[in-house]
Amino acid sequence: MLKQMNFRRIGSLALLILLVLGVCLTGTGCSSKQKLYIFNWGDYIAPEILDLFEAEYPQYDVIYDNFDTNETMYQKLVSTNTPYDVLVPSDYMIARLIQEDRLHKIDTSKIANYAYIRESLKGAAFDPNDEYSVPYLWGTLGIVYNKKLVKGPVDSWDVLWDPQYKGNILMMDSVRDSMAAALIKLGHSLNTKDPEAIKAAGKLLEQQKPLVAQYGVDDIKEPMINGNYALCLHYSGDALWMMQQNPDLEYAIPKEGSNVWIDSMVIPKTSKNYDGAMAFIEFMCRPEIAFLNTDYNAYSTPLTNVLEMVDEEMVNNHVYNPSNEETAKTEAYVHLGDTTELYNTAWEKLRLSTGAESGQIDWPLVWLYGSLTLIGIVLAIASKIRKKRLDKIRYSD
Amino acid sequence: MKKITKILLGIPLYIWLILFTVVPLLMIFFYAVFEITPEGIHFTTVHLTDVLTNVDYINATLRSIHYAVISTVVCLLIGYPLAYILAKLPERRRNFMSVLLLLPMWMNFLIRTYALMSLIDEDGVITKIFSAMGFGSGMLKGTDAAIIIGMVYNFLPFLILPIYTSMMKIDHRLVEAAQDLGGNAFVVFRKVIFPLTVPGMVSGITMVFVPCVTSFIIPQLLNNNAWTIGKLIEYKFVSGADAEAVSPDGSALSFFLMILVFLCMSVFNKIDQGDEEGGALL
Repeated sequence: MLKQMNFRRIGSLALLILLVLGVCLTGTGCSSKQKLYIFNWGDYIAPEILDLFEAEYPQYDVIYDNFDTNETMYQKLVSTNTPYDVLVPSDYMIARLIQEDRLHKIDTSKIANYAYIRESLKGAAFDPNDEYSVPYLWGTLGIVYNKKLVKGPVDSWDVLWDPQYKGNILMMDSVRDSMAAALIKLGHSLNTKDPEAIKAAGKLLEQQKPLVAQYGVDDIKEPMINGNYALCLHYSGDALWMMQQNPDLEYAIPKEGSNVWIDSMVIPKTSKNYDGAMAFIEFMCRPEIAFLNTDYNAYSTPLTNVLEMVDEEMVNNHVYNPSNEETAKTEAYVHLGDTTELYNTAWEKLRLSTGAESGQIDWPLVWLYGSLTLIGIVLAIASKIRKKRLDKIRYSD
Repeated sequence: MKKITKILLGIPLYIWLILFTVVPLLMIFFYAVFEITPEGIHFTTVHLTDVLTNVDYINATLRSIHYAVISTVVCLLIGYPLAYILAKLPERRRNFMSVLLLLPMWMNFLIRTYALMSLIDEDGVITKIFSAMGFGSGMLKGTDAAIIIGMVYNFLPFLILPIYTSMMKIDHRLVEAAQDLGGNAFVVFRKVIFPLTVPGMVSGITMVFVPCVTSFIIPQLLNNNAWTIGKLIEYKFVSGADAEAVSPDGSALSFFLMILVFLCMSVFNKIDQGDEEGGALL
């Protein structure tokens, strides 16, 4: 979900490996240190932060691990014995972890800077009482568009179904995000559990398919920057990056509403170092540290007093810091339980269908290869008979 | 005594085969036909029939075969003459050329495909060459042609090498004898050289066709809108919305893909064996 600049990632990966190596080497020497296991998205933390943390808390030995989707994070959390202390999953995954009783409560009164968390991010649907999670970074889902190629204002999901942009639209290869667009367009909540609504949204996306040039996540950013496509569904952080590469691009949160995603820090029950985890979360919420992080990632900071430190240009940027009107109708994803299956079925049906002839077996190919196989068999038998006859002639002499 | 040494030396191989071939195969079969519920394990054919009757899966399988056949034919058309020319070169140039041919294979296949990805997108060199030649405009990435290019590019050496090897093994006296008996170049080729390279060709075709049918990363990177059976399995196990480490549908698909591959292999083997007489079948 939160993949960013690739080259940055490689750089930070190298740094990370060095860091981890360093940690391992120094860690073996002194056993008095307590280990602190942090599990975060790949390339999602300013690299210097971990050093700063260890400098301030020499008693902790940070072991930093990466994941690339919420689902792999979950799999690793439940299937390995690693005593993770802090996780940074997204909203709906936090809801699932809460539901399955896998999280410790967090006493937010012990986090000095917690009071500055943006109001709109408090009491989100996945953690209504803010008992389990502390926001890390956040962003929105919206439409990136090329001002040169789009006529008229982009303020509604309808534009993604506008036939005049046939072959000019890039969609996200991600169930919840693409379904959110369709569900909201139909007037439903993006967390709806109504099977009819989900089916209808799937149908709507199928209707859209002929207009779509490509489905992707990271790989649709480059074509958009190159100015070859008019519209693209994406996250705000990635949108900002694309806009920096190509000034013709703009970003809009449709007026019907959209998704706001929040990645938050949580303490899983696997933790054996609760104090260390709390220290880390408190540390991440300090204004100067949170600033380093938002500056590195280009995703929005949840802390209002950090915004004062960010470039004025960025603060005024509606992508980085959307106004409350823009986010008024946004909604966070919640975990859907068994309903997830319906979403997945609808999505798979859409992704696998081959457009016009959807629901039909590709008969020309069946005939082609069926007849080729038949010809092959006939030839094989014929040659066998011929061979036998030749053998007969040869050996009867 | 000798027998014991033989058995002992074979142990690593047996462990290897059991751990990485037999057990995974059994697991695939197990997950395809058994359902694990809290109440216990019971047999079911639901997943097999689901997979067999799903129109989208059938189409994906057909497309995989389609891409593999076209790629193999293109590889053969390019590769056979190339192998022939290579075999005819004087020794030093031949060695140099075969190193050139093998050179890209020293680099990881995934990296090569990523590189190809940028060559066939809208500003890519290959896209420009194609449109200059009049083969349509716009980017190749996301078209069927992209998949074919990717497969041919990645698997061509696997076809050239066995053909080249079998050409090198041809006893030159046979060619001379045919010429002495009055055969012109075409007859010599058709009656002597071609039949003697058929075994090489068959193993080359196998080595291209099978990875093409099962490939998933090439279609994934070069045309994400096309579905092949390999991609479908990957989707079921890894990247799909409902991907799970133990996917019954994915296992059932793998099971059918395996049958498909075994069928192809046995057909190719038949051709190979039936060919002691020399190209009677082809």
